[in-house]
Amino acid sequence: MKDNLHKSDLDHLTFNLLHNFSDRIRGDQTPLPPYFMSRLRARIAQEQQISQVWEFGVISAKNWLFALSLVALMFFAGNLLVLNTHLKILFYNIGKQSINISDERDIVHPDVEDVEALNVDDFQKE
Amino acid sequence: MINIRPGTIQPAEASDDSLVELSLSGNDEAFENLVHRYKRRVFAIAKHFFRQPETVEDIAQETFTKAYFALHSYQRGASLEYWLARIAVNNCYDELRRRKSRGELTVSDLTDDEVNWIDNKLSRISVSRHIQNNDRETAFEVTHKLLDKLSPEDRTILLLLHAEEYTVAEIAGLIGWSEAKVKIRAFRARHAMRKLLKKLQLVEQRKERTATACYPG
Repeated sequence: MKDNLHKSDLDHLTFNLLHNFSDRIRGDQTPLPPYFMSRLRARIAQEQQISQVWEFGVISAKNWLFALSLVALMFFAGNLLVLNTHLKILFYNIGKQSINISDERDIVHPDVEDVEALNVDDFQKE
Repeated sequence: MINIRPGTIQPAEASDDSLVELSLSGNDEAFENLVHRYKRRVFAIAKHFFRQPETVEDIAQETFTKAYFALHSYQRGASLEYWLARIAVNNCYDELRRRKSRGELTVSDLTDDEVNWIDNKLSRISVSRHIQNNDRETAFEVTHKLLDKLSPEDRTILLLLHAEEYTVAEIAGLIGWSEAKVKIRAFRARHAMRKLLKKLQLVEQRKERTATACYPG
């Protein structure tokens, strides 16, 4: 109980301290800094300059980004075309080899001499 | 409705909204009128948080500069004072967080008068909770030192709640916290303040006991 009362006393003291604190500040009639407005104008002008430089930088960077993206796209498209051509050539060559293989009657591996050569007709009979 | 043309502003009659509109259209005189109207309020908010005149002025400058560039976001019909207070409180709060750690409050931080005053107030014999006229200056100094030792969050909440007397909803709008967070923070801030005051009392009691032990006669 004593502890609660003491806690309540401390809270009331806190409230009163802060009320007094605020009253003192609100009642303070000290004149404000005489050059406040001129300093404010200078600060705003400075911020405007910085934001203009920043905007210019962002716009320039945007333009560069756009140009670089275009170049990257062109490279990508070019690479796709080249890849496409290479693939066509590759498939064409593979296709040619398949035809050549199917035409041969005897499939002989140079390392395998003992084994009888395979004949396409053997497969067909099966 | 008063028709205000550029260059013929009557500051005493123009509403906040009309001055804001004129400022947005590039009329600097209108913005200066707004500054004159609210600079005392902004200074008062900054003085709650800081003692140094340079810091107070810097906070006020920053508040009005931010207000100038954010005028387009001000909602017509709302309270411009509250809108400016929000910017000012956030600037003060950010500055508090930027500053270095507070350190412990010790009796040596206070003058003898301040120590005697607080000891008197904290004594269980003393039933007066009110601050007498001749104590106001001492109370002011003591409060400043106590607030210096609180965390930025605790300090901000106590000042807005008990010094500026904003409601919980208004504080939530000012700082951007939820109402629940404001209430929890207020509870913790009061607890932190009680701890500080108790600590001072304990240190003072220990000093008295030591003095009595050394000089029993």
